[in-house]
Amino acid sequence: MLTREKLIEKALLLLALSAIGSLALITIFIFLEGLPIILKTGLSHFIFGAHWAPTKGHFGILAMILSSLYVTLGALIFGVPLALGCAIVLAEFAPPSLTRILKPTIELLAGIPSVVYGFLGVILLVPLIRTYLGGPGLSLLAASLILGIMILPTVISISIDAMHAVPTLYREGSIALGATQWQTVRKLVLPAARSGIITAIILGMGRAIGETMAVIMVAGNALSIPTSILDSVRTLTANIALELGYASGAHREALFATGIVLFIIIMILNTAATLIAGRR
Amino acid sequence: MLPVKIQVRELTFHYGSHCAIQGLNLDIYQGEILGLMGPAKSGKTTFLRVLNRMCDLIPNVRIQGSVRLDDEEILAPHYDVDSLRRRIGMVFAKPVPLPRSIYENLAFAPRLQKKPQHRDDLAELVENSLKAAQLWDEVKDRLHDSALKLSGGQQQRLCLARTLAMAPEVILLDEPTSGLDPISTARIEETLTALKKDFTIVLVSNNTKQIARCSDKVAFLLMSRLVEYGVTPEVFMVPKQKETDDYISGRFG
Repeated sequence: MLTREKLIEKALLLLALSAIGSLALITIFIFLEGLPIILKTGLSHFIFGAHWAPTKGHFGILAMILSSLYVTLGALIFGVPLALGCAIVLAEFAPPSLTRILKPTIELLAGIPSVVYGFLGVILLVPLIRTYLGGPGLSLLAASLILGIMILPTVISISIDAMHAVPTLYREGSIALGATQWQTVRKLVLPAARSGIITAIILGMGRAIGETMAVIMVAGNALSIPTSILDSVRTLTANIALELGYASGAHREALFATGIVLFIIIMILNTAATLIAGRR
Repeated sequence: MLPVKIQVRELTFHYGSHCAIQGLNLDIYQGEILGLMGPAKSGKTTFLRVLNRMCDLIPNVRIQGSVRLDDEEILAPHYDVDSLRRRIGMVFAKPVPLPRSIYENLAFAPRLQKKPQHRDDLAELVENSLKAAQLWDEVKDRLHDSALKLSGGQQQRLCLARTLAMAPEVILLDEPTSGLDPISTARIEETLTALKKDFTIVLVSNNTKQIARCSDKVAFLLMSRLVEYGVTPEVFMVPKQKETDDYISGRFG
């Protein structure tokens, strides 16, 4: 039976490698397709150039990089306080029976297709912004709010896990010293769970920066560096999705190059999350 | 006769349907060490957790009866448990320093009390507490190192010092020496004996010899009930109940 054992082992190894192999292939493909145009345009022109007119040979993606970063920052500003508040309540204050129901419910948020978020944004949020705050409604603000909601499940559930990982004995020690429950959370649980919470926020960032569909639907996709939160913006992901259908030649390569930039940003975020999570 | 610090009357405690303490009556006198002994699951730890209301943290418990601290009912529904826990400090079986420096562990409770405190006063309080717990000489040069680096015995004395820094009136100790070597145990016992003039102490221990050495009064719990209570030497010489005799001479438990 040893041979059969070996066979299964090899088969599993092959499956594992094929998953990693596809990652490698995607990486190689994106870089092969996108690098030449970056080299031709020049890296600094490509990244810091504000003029994007691919059919006329101008490939500057600064406006989109900034838009992506602003939208992500906005999502964090809206999403993180809400998520942390929610995580603290569920991990520390709510009775365990309630947490058992509410945590999976919040995780359901992650299962809603992004096109549905976008749809709700267009139908509900955009008109509100247009009516009460002015501008086109399709805006940086709308995208930030929608993404802020979309990152909630990631940030909440990883933060709850991080707080649950803090030993109960620490909490008892603190409470026995006369600390109230809130003092215990603020002075003990949050500092002890800090690295896990930062990881949660970084993974939420990765989700926000990579989101495409919902952003295309509510951000307006105008090609300029935004000067106000009510301006319409186009993110890196939106740019690829919107133009790939008709792009060819150098234009198509430039979209792949946009993909490289996105890829590198997300790689940096994920590596940071892994490093911080590993440091305890 | 010393004044009664804590008076327990007809205390009954349930976890769900399991009865952990059954009709307990007990007086704890100021400035004495009450030793509490009994086999596992006899209700000792539960009793300590009732005294500083740490039992509130456990869901599904039911308490009946009365516990009065300085003639004040602490089981009253809206009693201020946070200030109660400052008056009744607790040291756990397993030493749990907070994941901070030695100094910060000591300063934790005083800072919570939000008294306007001068830095030097706080430093002095830290030093005095560490001295009282007989830990000062060993840690005075590394107060800002992580408390987690200390040895088990040192950690336990740190936890005791941390409780002393809170300036409580009563100190509850839940098998404080269960994980320690004989030398560390001896140091803790010395410390307790030295402390009892200023504090009222309740010492839970599985080690009957420790109870015999340290305590002034002793209570023996068995199967959720108080079996015997009395002055320590008398109980150990001539126990009134057969169960007590069996327990202290090691025939069970």
